Amino acid sequence: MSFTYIASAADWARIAPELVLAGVALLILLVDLLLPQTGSAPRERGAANFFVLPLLALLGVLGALAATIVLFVVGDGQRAFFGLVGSDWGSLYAYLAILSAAGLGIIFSPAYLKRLKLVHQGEYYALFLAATLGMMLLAAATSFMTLFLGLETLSLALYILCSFVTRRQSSQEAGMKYFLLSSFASAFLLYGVALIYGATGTTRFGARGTSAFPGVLQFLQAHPQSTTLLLIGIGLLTVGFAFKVSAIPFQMWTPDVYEGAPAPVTAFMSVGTKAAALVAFARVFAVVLAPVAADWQAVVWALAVLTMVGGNLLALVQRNAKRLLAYSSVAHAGYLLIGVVVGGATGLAAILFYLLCYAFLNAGAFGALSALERLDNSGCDREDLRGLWFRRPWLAGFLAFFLLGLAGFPPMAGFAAKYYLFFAALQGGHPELLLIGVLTSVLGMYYYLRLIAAMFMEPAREAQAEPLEATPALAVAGAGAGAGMAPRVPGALGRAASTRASGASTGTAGAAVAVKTTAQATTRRAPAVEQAPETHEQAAEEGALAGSSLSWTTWLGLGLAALGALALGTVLPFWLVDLALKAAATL
Amino acid sequence: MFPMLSTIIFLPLLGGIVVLLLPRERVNVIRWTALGVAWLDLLLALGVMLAYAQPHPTAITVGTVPLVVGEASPTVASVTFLLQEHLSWLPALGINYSLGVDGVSVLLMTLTTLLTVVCIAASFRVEQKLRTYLAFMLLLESGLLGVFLATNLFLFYVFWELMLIPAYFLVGGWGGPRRVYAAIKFVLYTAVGSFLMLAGIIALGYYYRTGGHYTLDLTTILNSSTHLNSTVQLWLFLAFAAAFAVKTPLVPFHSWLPDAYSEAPAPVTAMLAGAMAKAGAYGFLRYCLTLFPDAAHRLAPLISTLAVIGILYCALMALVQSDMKRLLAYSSISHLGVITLGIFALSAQGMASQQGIDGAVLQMVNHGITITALFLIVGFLEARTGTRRLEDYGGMARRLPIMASVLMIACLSSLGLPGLNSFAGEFLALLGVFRNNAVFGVLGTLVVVPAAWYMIRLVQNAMMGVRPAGGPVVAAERKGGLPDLDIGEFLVLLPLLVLIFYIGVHPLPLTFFVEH
Repeated sequence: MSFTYIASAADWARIAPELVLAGVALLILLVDLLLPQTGSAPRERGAANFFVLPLLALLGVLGALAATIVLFVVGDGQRAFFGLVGSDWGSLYAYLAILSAAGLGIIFSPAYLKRLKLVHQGEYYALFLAATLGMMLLAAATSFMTLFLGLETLSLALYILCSFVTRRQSSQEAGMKYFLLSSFASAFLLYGVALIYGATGTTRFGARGTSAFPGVLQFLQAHPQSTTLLLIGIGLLTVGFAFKVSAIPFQMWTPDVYEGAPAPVTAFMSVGTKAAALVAFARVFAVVLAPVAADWQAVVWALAVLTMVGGNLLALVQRNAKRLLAYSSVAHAGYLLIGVVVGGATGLAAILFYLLCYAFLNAGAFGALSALERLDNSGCDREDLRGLWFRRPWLAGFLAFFLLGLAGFPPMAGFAAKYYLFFAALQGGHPELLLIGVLTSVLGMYYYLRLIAAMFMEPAREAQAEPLEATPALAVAGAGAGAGMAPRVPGALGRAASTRASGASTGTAGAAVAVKTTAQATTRRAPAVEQAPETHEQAAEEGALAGSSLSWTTWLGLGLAALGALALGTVLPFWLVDLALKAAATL
Repeated sequence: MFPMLSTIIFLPLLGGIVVLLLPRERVNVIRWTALGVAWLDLLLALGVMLAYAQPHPTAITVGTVPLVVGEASPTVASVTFLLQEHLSWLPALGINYSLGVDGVSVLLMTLTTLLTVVCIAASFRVEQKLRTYLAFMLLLESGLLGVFLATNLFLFYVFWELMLIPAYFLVGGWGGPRRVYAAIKFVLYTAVGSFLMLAGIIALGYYYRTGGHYTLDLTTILNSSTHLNSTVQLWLFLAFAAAFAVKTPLVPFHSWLPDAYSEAPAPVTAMLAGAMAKAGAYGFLRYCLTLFPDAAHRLAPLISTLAVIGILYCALMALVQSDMKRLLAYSSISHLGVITLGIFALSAQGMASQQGIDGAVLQMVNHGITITALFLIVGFLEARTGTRRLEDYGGMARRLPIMASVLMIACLSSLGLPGLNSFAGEFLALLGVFRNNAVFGVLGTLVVVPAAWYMIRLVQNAMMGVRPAGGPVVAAERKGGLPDLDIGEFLVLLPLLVLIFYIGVHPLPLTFFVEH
């Protein structure tokens, strides 16, 4: 049997946002090759890399955003390529969330990469855009084939991005863990898809209200009795999706990956992956599998409740801000699953609106942490955050703002989103989900407030004063290396030493001392040479970290995220909720 | 029409932002800017109050039609919102930006602005992170004003939560040694209640729908012909009451209060006790009573019982406190019990007692004035000696005659001496209770006895008696650090003192507002 489909220009126009991203991603790889070398530094560390590449990536995201808006206005909302990819408003709305997160992640990146001396930025930004592309494809997929394609595109790019900090073990671990577990889940998903294909004879979703591209939906409408094959397929599909949205009990990878990955990547992927996977989840279950809702609703209900309760409970005991936010994102996935259970226009609209709000809040929170994270992934424990307000008031203020928003305080976006979602739960006939959601939100409030209390209300311990802490420790490390003792000094010893050297008044001065000592150490004894360059770098990094002035890009990112979160909570819901309602009807 | 109420609400917020942007070294500029903003807001509020008192209030509401609502709710005679402002926000869910004042909220609005002026003036000694402190104070004022002026339930909730944020930071950032514990406990208690109310609000909007249209506007809901069945009313009442019971507080939900009040710096405590606690009572009056009349009728005995338990239990607790702030905190719970009792003085037919409500609102204002004065005086004392323990003091009247007199006046006001402000309010409230339910009336009146006892104990132990031979007070005195009230501190307290006497002699203008 032969089959011919000729893609028309309209087909290409419908995936314009993805095309823009793909084009810019390739362009970045090319430009990376052509960028000039500055001075004696290796080419990857040239100043141009820290400026041109992120700018290019950002322009790509903005271009995709512009294309999305154009499609909103003039697009026909039809499916492209024989019903494989949607360009409906629902997908476009999801693009908004994904692209917002990607844009913020890119803005947070240059300062972070520079501070941690990470090279290979061409790959970094290209992969960043590739992951974004995958997410958009996943969100817009209207066939199990495109769905899997999007999923793998985003996953492959993220595996590499997670382990991008090559000198940090936890980053390597994050990438590896993500890779192994995610592949495992993808296999489940794929098997489920195969079984559903077996049961229905098609991989296309099929659209509501039209028989243009018939698919699973139309099959199920015609045969509402689900076969065993279909049931097993749905079960496997649930497992795969639950893993991707990190619903409990498939959340194990989330904290480790979020913690180990570079903070800007986490800022991006915690939102983007969630948005894409949830929109796909919602589309597959609440729309395509809606005719057999009775078969899966109880399972997804249980997942939602388990995730809300478990995510919040697990977050309660975290001491590391990144892990805490990871568990909180698990909890937020639980709230979002309410929308899948409820379904209908309101449920789906609630998911879309929530994702958009969540994008700004979560990306902002991780962005603020990206300014604190050190090369060895320390700096984000609650102990490190103590008294942050007294050292870096604005950064602490921003972080508190985002945390309060995530906790659901008005007037930030989190509240409006939660309100709408809980309203959808009640309207959809699930008052118990409303009550569980509300009560677990109280749990959530505790851990967010505890973190804020640490930043604002507890003074930093004397030996913990951040700018001084690591630098004298490095001085000792240098001296220790010089004396031919242990090349790596445990943190405890370093901390003890830091009290001794607390005379140094500013961080930069401390760093200077450290560098000097290291230099002396290297001249005195040869075996220390191997150790010295790294210590030197760390000292410089600490110096950059200690300087209270953040890079302007970070400020820009934080400001944009805060502005977005505030606007979404106050002015914009007026028409964004309406838009979400209209968009949800097209999913 | 000029959006007067929005101006009153958001002026402090803007002022707070301005204060944050001032240069850090210009301490006096920062202080006076904040105080100036608070003053301006007070003047605006007074203007609205005077305009409201005009015989023909329609004259000032150009462009809006004053709505007489509440025909459907038999418990409250009529609720008239004036100076209404209305902006569509999320019409699909019945969420609008709508404000309005009636007699009760006009009083509480003015009280809040007055207390903010007093408390900011009393905060001139704060040095640590001054700008943020003042900004949070002003934000707290904004939140409180919004709570009192919102006439859309969603908007009400937004402000309700908004005032929690500055309160959390103020208690936790500038409080005593156990401030973190106190602040988190405070917010968590409040949050549990608030979130239940949120569920209630969502459900209320859902039940009050006509066709596909939801509404959360108070005026629309009160005018609506939809009558909730009594089971739904019961659950919604409980959800709302959870928030108000924590905030007011009623007794089993009160344990955050002594901690928060005693750990917070004195001006913040004064704000919390003087203005924020009233938000709970206001919620009972405005929402629980009018929205769910049947449930209010059924549950009034329960709430009244809790209030009576609170009145007596906290009075006894106040008797044995050695920390002056904790003493005042417990006395505050006890007095708020009387207010709650007055609000829920429903007759056998479920009709609210006009006297009970008059008295309760009057007492809200009076208690706000008196407790603020008391907390500020204790704060002034603590600033001098560094201790709040009653045992450390004694015989201070000779050394601090003015302060002792002021404290005496405030204490007498608090225990309800006829001729001072609290008497009229408590008397009216209890009269209303007594008429409808003699048992609660008698039990509520019992508050007078321990109130006199613990307040006199406070004055006696601190100001009279034998001066201690040693301890922190004597140490402070030796260093010469025990001056009497200075002119600034006296000026801070002066408006409160004037009102204590004025309302005591002439409470009629206040009840006028409640009844009109």
